[in-house]
Amino acid sequence: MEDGAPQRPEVLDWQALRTLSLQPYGFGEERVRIWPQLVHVDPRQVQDKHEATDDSVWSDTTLEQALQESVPEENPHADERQIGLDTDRSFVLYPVEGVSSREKLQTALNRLIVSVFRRRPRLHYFQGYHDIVSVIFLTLPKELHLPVTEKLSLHRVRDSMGANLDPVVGLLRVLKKLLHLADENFAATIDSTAPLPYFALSNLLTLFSHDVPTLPLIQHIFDYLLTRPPIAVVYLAAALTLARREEVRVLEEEGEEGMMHSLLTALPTLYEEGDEPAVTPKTEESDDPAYPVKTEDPASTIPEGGSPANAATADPPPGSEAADAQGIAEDPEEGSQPEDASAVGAAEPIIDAPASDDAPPPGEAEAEDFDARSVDSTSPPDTTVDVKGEPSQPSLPEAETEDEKRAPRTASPEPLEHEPRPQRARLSVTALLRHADELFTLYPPSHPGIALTSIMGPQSAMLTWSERASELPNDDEAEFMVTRPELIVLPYVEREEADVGEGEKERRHREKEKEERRRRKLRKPRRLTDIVVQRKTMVAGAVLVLGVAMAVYGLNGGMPGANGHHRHGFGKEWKKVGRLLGGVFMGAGGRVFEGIRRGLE
Amino acid sequence: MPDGYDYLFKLLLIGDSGVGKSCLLLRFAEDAFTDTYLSTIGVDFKIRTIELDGRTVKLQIWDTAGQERFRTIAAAYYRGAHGIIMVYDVTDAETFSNVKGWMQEIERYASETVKKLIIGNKSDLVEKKVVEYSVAKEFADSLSIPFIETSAKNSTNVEEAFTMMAKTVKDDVDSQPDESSDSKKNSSVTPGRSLNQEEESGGCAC
Repeated sequence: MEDGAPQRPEVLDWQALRTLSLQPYGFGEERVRIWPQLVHVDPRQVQDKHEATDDSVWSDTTLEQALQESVPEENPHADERQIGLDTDRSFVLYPVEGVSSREKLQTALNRLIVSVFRRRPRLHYFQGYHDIVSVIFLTLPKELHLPVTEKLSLHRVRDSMGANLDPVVGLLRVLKKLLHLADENFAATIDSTAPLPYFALSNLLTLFSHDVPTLPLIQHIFDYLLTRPPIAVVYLAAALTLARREEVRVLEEEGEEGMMHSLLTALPTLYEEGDEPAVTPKTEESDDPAYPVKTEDPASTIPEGGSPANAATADPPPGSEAADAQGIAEDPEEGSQPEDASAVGAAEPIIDAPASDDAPPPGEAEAEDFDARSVDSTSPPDTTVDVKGEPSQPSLPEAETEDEKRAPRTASPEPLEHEPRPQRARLSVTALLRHADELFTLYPPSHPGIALTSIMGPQSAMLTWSERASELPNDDEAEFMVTRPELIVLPYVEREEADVGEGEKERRHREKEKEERRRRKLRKPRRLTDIVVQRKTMVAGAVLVLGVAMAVYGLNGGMPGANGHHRHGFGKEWKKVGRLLGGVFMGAGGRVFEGIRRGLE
Repeated sequence: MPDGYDYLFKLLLIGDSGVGKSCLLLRFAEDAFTDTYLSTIGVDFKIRTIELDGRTVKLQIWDTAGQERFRTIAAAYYRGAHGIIMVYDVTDAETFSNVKGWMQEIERYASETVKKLIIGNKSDLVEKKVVEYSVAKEFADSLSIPFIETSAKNSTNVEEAFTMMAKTVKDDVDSQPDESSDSKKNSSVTPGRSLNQEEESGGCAC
């Protein structure tokens, strides 16, 4: 795994990809090749079966073809009715240009999802899963839909696909802890309005796909998430929440804490740094290509296998030329009026006007300022320099369409009375992602204040995930894991603190940790038994590998990618260390998490 | 002006997936309708302030996901609710028969004094209607719960339904002097913490 050297398709340079995912627009065109590898679907399937990348863009023709293919004949899944109810409401957020019939798209999406569940009957469908799949559906060529969706479901989204949603409640608890570590006062404020950060529920459940307003943005976020352990979604949710501090403070001042959920459920206005208007004001751009990043350009600039090996040497990521070229190609799009923004969201008749009382969307969109309130301060500029110069980018439209697109879901909660409301924050996606990485570095899952293994069970996808396909549970085993909910999230016995003062908070915090330690001890024997019964080596191995990975991140004081200086050798470095430690800690199993950092009890 | 209200009531919309909870809320809060509404994930709310008996009543209305697996999460919001509206789809008999199940959820999670309302939505779809008014009315009467048919699409009875709910709650609050503090801001907008805890600690299989 040398810098810049071409790699075998199976050996992904995760570190390089992480870095790349932090760049504006993430993988750009390359995600078509990269995503399948990230979920361990053989990329050669793309190459062999998918010469014409244009196929990945839906059109009336390709859609017709898709719909003519037969549906798998397996037994219907019990959730198919619910799936239908939701796919019937799909493609609202990410409308598809070039396809005249949303109904047909919905039908095709429905077939895809139904196929997954018929293949994996133990999985349960949850509302919002269809949002995740729609991103796959709109990004990848058809041949890859089923394999990628299946892998993603089994190895990343699995926790939410069991009998109940307790696992995601577990993640909410992780998020709560993380917020407390990052900003105790702020977290306390949030706690005072709800016992758990429920506002982040849909973010965690749907990997943000239910909430992020445009396809290019959600694709970028998927670039980020798919190159990281599944728990990264919690860190991203935390970064997003922390970015709202100012708005929350304003709410508090106004005595409107009751609106907290509403404020935090709605995402801030996200933008790509490259979208900062270089010449033309934002308002002049059109949004015709609702998801231009997709595949207008085959982007054949990428070495086979799709691993942007070059990225390991830091930069210009392989996709950037493509993105560049495309950006130029799309320039003509810049020219329509901001009102056109609603055309993209034309599906939705509702305009989010009230929400923008004090910040009209067009104004937001055209804002030239980089917005000091974005979390830029947290993001070292070095990682962005190389691409920052790109004046125009494929996903230009997203900024100004955001409000319109969001309208159906988040349409202002208080439209008729013009409640005071802080201006919605604007947030650079890359800054947000980097902030999430920083949180991960500072408070890794092994951090005593988080102690992921004290919340999630050994069969949680959060703990069984691995960069290496060989260390993942196999697909059948993964499917079976959803049938053991008690191994996915551990029983929750802790009493959460109510409204308490700061000092008290601190004290309780320490107590809580003590309590956690105690519970870990109590739990250990049973967990180990479970592992033995279930599949001892695999779970232990997976937990171990992740644990080592986390610990190494922590020891190095830098989440790969968060720190440009470490980019070059860091990836292989920690993999080596991981391998070494693997033997050493084999007996330690899940303890590795806490063990490395706190010397274990 | 924005803060000027005499009462703040928290209402909750529950019912099977796809019956039109979000659309009802959209119609009531923003007087809008869309055929392309998104699925609700988890919970969300909207606010509308209305005049009732010469008083200003601020309604915070929570909308919940209909899928069964979200019930335990939505239940965290039952406790603080003054009123709970159960919605079914008049074109889908199953959603009506499931109202019984939703009643059980209320009994399990909501406060005893919570006011209830049953709404049969999509009344505009006359030809597809399968749940007769009389049947539903009889059912509601047997439970002493008010009942109304609505159409979020053409606005029929939506205003009336929420007003009816608000009025019931207000009358109840007015009849209990102690409860008047409920109209204070923020006293009722928090999901039931205590309840939620019970729920969480009990919710996990061991």
